[in-house]
Amino acid sequence: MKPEAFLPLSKATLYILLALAAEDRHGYAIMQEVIRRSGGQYRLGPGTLYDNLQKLVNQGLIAETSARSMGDDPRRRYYRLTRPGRRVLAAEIARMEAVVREARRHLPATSPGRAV
Amino acid sequence: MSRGLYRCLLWLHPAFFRERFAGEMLWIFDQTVGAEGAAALLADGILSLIRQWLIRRMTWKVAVALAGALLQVGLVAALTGDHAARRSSRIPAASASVAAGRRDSPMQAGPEASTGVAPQSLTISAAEPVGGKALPFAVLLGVLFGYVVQSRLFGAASRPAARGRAADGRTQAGQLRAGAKSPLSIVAD
Repeated sequence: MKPEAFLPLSKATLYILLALAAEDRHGYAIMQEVIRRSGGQYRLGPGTLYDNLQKLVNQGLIAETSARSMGDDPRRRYYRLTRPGRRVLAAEIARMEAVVREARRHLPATSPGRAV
Repeated sequence: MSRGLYRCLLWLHPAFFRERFAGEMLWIFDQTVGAEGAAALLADGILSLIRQWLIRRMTWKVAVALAGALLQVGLVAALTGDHAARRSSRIPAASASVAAGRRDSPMQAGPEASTGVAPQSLTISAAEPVGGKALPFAVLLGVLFGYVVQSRLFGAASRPAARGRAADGRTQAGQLRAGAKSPLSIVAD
């Protein structure tokens, strides 16, 4: 399936894939990373997080991994971004760039914090 | 208190989800309850519960089928009730005309003309069995109707391949990499 078939990604899915793009993380670390990347504007609850993780694992966009650091809680599950997941994330970023390009073309005078 | 409530919410989740994630979710609750507040986490738990049972477990399809069944039952009960009321009101009128000695037409001659049964006993026996026999039939029809409607409307989503993981354990992305048909083309076939 083409990565475009998964687009557009929901906000939660986008942030989770972004959080996993740099390194493998467990659930709580993903939540912390989402808060950090969104500047505290978007917070995932545990229910939303694990529902999305389950869905993404089923879709093959992320996978559970056994990589654990020493002394880590054995109950924690780590997740990594798979190759199809990386392609989907790249396609979503390209889509968003196209949206931004289009917006800039039609609204050249608009800039953040400046009303038209 | 709030931890106990959250544990209850986790316990109410479907077994697969609970066994897989409840431990970690409770651990995250303990870590974040101070910063996030118990209300936000409990609300998230309630939403998760609804999502897992109604959307992920497809329980809402049963609800749609039941709603269809109830609609059918209501409709059939209303129709048979109306029909039975008309019959029971017509038969005494016919028997009254019999008592008066009038024989205007064969339809008004009264049931006893062909059956030999007294009109009063027919009034009762004709009105009651209609609804009594029709009700189980209507329930069955309604459930079938609801099932057919929901499977026609949402059949694609209930197929194992379309849900993401096929029976052989391969994911959607894995199947598609291997050149399998997309779920939509499978449905179209």
